[in-house]
Amino acid sequence: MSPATERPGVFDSGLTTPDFAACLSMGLEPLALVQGFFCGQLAGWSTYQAAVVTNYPCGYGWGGGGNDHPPPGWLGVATALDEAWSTAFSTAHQRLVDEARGLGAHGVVGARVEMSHPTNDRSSEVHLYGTAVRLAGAGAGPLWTTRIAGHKLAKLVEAGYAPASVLYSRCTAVMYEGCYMEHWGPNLVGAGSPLEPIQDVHHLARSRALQDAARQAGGHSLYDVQLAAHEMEGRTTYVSCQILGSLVRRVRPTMPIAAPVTTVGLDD
Amino acid sequence: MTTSDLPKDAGARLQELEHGMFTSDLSVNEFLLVKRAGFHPLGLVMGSSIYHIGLQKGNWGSSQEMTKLSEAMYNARELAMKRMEEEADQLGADGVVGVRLDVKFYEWGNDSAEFIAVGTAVKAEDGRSYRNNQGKPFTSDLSGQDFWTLTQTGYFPLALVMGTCVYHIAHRGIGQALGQMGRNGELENFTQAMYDARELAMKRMQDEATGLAAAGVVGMRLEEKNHMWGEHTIEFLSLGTAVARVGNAPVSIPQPTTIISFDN
Amino acid sequence: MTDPAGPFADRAHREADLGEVGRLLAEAHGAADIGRGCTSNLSLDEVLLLHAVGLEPATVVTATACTTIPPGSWTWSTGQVQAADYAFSRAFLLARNQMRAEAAQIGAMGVVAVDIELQLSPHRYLVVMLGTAVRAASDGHGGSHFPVRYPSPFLCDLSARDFVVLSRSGWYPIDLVGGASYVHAPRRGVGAALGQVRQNVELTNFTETLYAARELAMQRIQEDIAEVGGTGLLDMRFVDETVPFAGHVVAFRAYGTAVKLLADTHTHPDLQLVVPLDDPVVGFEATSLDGQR
Repeated sequence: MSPATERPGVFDSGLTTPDFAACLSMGLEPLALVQGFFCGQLAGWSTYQAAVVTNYPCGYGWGGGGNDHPPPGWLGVATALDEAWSTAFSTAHQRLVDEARGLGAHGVVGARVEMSHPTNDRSSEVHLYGTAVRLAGAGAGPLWTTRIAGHKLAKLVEAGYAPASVLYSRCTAVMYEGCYMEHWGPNLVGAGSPLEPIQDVHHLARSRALQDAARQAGGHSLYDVQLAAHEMEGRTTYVSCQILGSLVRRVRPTMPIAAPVTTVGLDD
Repeated sequence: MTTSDLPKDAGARLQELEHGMFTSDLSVNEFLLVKRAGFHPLGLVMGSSIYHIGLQKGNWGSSQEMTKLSEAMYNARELAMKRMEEEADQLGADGVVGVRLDVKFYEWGNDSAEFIAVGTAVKAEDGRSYRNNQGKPFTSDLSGQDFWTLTQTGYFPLALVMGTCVYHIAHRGIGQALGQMGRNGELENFTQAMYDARELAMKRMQDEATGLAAAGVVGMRLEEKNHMWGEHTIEFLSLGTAVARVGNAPVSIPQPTTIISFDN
Repeated sequence: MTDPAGPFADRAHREADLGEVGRLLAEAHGAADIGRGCTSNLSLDEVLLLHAVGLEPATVVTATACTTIPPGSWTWSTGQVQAADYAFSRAFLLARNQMRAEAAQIGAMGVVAVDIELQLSPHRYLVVMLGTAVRAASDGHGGSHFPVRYPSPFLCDLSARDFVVLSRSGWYPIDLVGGASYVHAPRRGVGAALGQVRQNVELTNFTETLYAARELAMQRIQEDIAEVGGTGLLDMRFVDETVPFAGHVVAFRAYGTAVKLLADTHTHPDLQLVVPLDDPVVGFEATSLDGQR
């Protein structure tokens, strides 16, 4: 890693011209483009092992499995997998923050987050980058990061908020069908009956990811939440839900904005 | 199909709409602007026709219009439009805004296609009739925003007008083109064929507008589609909204304000 | 020569140059949080707009419903694929009720910007809803001024922006509504039915089948609007599609937000004509010249 260093008299930034103009008008000086990376390895199938949350009863009323009877179904969370990604994100974010702090910045604006599997499914990469800014006249305080910049940031501040950080959370829920689904599957119950295990696995992934986000937010407000859920279906169903949001703090009481003006554009 | 030409299933749904409920795919902004223009939505109206398009053997060596295909494409759309207008008529509508024309090809449909016309039927809130000079509900493919803007100019929509031309562009042209490889030049017969086909489509649309005694056509556009005939046979479809001036009173159009938005 | 003190040296050392926003931001740096936290899929702009009508986001709520479709339902037959129609309406209803229960539990007035995900597979219909529950704004100036009291929480898939604009005209969302119709294409092949491949002709039985199916989907959504007490449906998503695993089935799905005029009259917004001076993004690809598009 070669962190950005201070080069007096020169700045670089990932800001668009309107965002650059708006930042200058707020007294935010761009210092440099700062980044944070993390490349990790997801350790084999053990990563996908799940901690069981619920055991489904045998639909036929049997006590256990047998040679000609599938084992009972269950619902769980792949904690190790989620922790691997969360650690990747928080480490990359910390590196971004450290790089910005080294420049004497107060915050990072216009942060972008890219997450990928650079070589195969077993590797993970998190890349964060943004523009480190110094705020004339501000004292010491925790360094903040935000995905917005320019006039949107100005609107946020005017409305009594201050940016806090970019936030990431995820949950991978796992459902093994077992004999429960075989019994309660569509063969026997007809049309339109609720398939509870499928509902459970989807709901668990989303609600746990949201809960984890709220826990990380710790009483601050989280907006702009982007939520993406992905399902892999087989005998075992995986639903991964990832959340990316902007954490903000309220520092002044709400000042309702003026009623908006409605316009009709003459463009297409 | 009986007097109204509408399949019987349309009846029950439309009766319900007469009792004050409306359905619409207008966005909130479009809805507010249609209201501002003095109209209330009555309901989503649609027309559809599944049409078998006859095969036509052409002389592949010369560029020419495939008249039979042109007829099929025109007649099928006309049927769909007519049924949509009839649904609007049953609702007592003054017109239909936001009309979309669509062609769908299904896996099971061999040489047939479904032609669909969908829009939102509207009625004037001042109780006057705004039907067009043919006594039919006006139709228009303008968005709610464009509809309101048009009414501000003193013009009003008469009908969605269209012209179509399915054209075969000669295979021989390719041979000539290959013979000329290595030098840049115009493929004159291609140019001529494209010209002729577009002119025909646009002229047919203009003829429809003239037939309605329209002052002009707004939002005109030309679409080119290959559909299922391979790359040498192209449908040129010209579409627009025929408009007429309302009254003679001078209209003052509000001066627009210029803005630079900060949205990304 | 570059100025060793940096390009913003002048500005950086004169606090007087800070705008109002810069001064607020400087004060905010390190200041304590005085609000109560919330999680929302709304953008900050939308949150500010909601404040303008007296509401604030409470939290994200989500609901999932999955219903069964028995094997054999997709075998090519005639008329409706009733199991699919039923699975859709049940799943939509279950998800909607669950959403409302979640919102009611936290004392929310309603849920805006609901994202609806519909997923059909041969044996099941999955409906996932996710949106932001809103409540009367409690902080700031004199409490709530949102003019409507709902007996139970409303649901809407309109964006917060559309919700605010619509409510300022007197219309309010009531509930999410949906209707679906899955229909088998008539069995006989087109050529076989006609034996006259050179003719242009309408296939009336095909037209009637698809017309009926489309009208049925619309009929169902209208019944749903009446059921929830709405008088209109805006921004309806009407989707025609073929079913990937059953090519002979045509699907019609309609869903959207039922609305009602709750104010005495419709209020027209004041309109201002504007010409944006933003340049459209113009792209040019040289490859298009080679005919390789």
